[in-house]
Amino acid sequence: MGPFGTVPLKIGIYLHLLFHFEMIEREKVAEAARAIKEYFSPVDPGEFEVETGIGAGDFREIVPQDFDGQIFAIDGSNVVVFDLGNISLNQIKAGYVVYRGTEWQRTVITYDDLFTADRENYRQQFNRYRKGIFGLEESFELKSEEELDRISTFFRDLQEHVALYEAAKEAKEGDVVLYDGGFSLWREPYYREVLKRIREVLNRIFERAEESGADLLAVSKSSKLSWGRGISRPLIGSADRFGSETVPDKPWCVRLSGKKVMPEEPWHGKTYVAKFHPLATHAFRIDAPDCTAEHIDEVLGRVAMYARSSESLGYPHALFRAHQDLKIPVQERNFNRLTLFEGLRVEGLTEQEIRGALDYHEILDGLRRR
Amino acid sequence: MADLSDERWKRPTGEETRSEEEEGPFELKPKTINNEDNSNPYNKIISKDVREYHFIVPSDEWVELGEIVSIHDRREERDTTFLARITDIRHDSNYDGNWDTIVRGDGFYDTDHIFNRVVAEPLGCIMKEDGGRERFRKSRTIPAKFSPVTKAEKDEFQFLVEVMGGIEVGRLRNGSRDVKEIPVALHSDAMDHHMGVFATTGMGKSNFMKVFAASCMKRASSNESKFGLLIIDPHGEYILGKKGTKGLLQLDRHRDGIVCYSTDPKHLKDPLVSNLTVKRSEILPQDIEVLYDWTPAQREALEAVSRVFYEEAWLEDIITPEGAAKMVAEGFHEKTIGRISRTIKTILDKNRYISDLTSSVPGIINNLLEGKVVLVDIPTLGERSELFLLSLLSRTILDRYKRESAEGTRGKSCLITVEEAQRVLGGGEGSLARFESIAREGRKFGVGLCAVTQQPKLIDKQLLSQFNTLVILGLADRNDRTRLEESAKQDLSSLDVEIQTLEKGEAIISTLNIPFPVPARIHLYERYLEDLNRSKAPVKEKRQSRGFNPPPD
Ligand SMILES: Nc1ncnc2c1ncn2[C@@H]1O[C@H](COP(=O)(O)OP(=O)(O)O)[C@@H](O)[C@H]1O
Ligand SMILES: [Mg+2]
Repeated sequence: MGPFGTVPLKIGIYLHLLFHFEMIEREKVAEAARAIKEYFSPVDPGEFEVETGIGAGDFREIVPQDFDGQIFAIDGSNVVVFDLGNISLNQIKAGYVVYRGTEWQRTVITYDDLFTADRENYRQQFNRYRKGIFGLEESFELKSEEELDRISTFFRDLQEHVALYEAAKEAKEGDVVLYDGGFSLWREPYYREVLKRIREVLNRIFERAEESGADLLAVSKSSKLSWGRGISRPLIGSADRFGSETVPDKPWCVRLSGKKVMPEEPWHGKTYVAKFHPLATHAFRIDAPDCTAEHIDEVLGRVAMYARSSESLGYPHALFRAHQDLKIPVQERNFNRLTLFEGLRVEGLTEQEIRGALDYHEILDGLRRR
Repeated sequence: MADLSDERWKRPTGEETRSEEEEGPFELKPKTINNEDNSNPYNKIISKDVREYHFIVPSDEWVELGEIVSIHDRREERDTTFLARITDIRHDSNYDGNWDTIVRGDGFYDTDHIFNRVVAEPLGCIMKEDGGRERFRKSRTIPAKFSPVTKAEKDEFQFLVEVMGGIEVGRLRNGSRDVKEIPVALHSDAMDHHMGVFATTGMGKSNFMKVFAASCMKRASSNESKFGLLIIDPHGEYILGKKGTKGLLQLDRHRDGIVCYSTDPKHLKDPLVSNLTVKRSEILPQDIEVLYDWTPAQREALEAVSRVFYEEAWLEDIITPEGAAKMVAEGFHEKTIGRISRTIKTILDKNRYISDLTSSVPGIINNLLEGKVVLVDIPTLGERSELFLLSLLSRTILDRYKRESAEGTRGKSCLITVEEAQRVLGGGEGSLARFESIAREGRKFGVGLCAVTQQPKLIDKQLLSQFNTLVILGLADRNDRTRLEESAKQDLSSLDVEIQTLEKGEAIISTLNIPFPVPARIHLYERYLEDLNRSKAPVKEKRQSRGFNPPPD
């Protein structure tokens, strides 16, 4: 998951949409349907260019290029094992996979552990890694209630950044390091302070990648970027339609940074939309730090070359594998949960106390909260 | 998986976790998974229960049905190796749905997610006993999850050497590889519990019989034999071989373990071969009764014969006019008696070995009682004569063994070979009651049957279930296999495909004292012969050390 509140759709995850028609008035549903139709309606190139500043000439073909180097792909996951309201226990996993061409080389798991999201004592756990890995001294402080709710997500992001840093360190000249998420886009509801802390980490990573001579790209399918007046429409989806007509039957990319739709660039990098294969189901938002952006065509060409697997056509295969290898299977989560209950029993809690505490929160929060 | 022993989880109540100073220098401990070391998922037990073990192998790794694998359970409290036989190999992957029929793009990158699942059936486990001795037994549990799986090697089969008997027939086979160090040998004690040799034509029945007989000769020549082996050979293929193969008399080293009786003048040149004769007086009405499809009236007449004539002279008497008159006086029809005498004349005419003066029969039985191999070579006779001789010999053998058993003077037990056994063990009409009774009760008197057939499906189920040693070579017909699976003492059902795919000389042997159906490669007789003729001192039969599957009594 991207670090800044965006929720990229991941390939391989099924979305279950549940409509409770009985509970909603028919007219309301009809209204929603009209709005959704509008949202998906065809893109008028003229309107798109006026609103976003992106014209047909901005779409460029990506030419897939083979290369000798390795592709790294970083991902992570977290699941709630036990939630008590002000403390929750999470399992977090982060790491990266390494490919050479189409050949998987290895998967490195940099973090796989239980993490207590504790409103009082989280700082120390963050600071330990911030200092230990990145040499950053400033303490990590969450200000708002909402941020505090998201301690474990932040911690997972931190662990993904650790994995990214380790991959950037291991990478050699000419290698490509892919991150499942984003490098740009800091928006509400986070305080500048928090963003600053995360920015520091990313800058360290960029520096490290530059030192190695490796290129970094963040790949996500953002649902937050939008364009249009009145009803706002998905920028990636619209760019996908427009781009696929403009550059038919080929992979393509378009730069967003500097255009009307994305004027200010509060970080040292550029943002693009790319489609890696004409038969891909999605186009992706790509963030590249400046040193990679300098030769973005070449780097995207390398990524497109290896986004052609049958497993995940049009999505960088290494990211697909990273997702598979670093997700936490539900059995593992359940096993940890049972082991924890066992531990609580040893501590003298009764079955009833455990179940009681658990059921209450799980009913309220929903069992599958992530 | 998360490490729950992490001390943070000992205090989940929000107590201050340990301060940075206490933690020491920061160190990241990444875990790497790749294809080369123990972190890959291959060749580890992943499933499933006490009846079936599963593990996966890379798609490009070659495994075969019937291969035996060993599974090393690393749990500390037990030092155990499980053995299992591969019974199925399936395509499998980590993906759901129709991923494999919608191949797009450049094809699949992650071949490590696409693999074969191997299903194996437990054979048992080898456990160390106090004192370091290894013991094989049936397993009552499953190997620990992720126990490593390797192809079983000779060391893991060593226990088999100790459960083998003294009559060597081949070598252990693991899949299509031979395990040269482990001989496969049958137990002498199992022989009066009957043996069956089954194979589609050309898969190696005759070769097996020669190897088996050679091993029996070897034991007899060193006075270690525990049973006599009678082979009645209607094709003349065992004595000196046929079509480029070698015969039993060519086993020079152990010629003293065999005696031969032949009707073929060519074979009589060898001093070991005597002319086969049967005395007229040895033939009883029931011996010819089995030969033809008599009418009820004729049958009745035959049964009356022993009342009417002196037992020893009936054959000569009934064909004389006086004899015929005697029978007519008993109330039988003239035509009936006429038919009987004509048949008897034909028999006497066709079976020139029937004589007034001499008989090989007592000699045959004496040699069997001494534990020798007795070969009755009758290539010149037709099928009826063969059955007649078989019937006569087995009757006299059974009578003699019964008598001597009752008197407590009996010598060694014996095994009567019946070629094309479906002719006489089919159950119902057409089968010979005598063989059925040997199959059912021969063991009491030390008489066993060795049924050789290419069509086990034609053998009566109940009779087949009396066979405690099955030598199964390639069987193409499913009904043949099913019949064996239904009647076998050991469970063979999981071996169906393997039996179907057995090649020439490859066998599965299910027998007493050996804890599971053993895959074997039967020696090629000609090569075995050379080895035996060359080898030095005979090896003594090991005393059977552990009563695994003691023979039922
Ligand atoms: N154990 C064996 N090893 C190698 N070849 C064998 C073996 N058994 C049989 N054969 C080959 O198969 C041929 C047929 O075997 P045979 O014993 O005559 O079959 P069957 O009696 O079942 O018809 C033999 O001549 C020999 O060439
Ligand atoms: Mg034959």
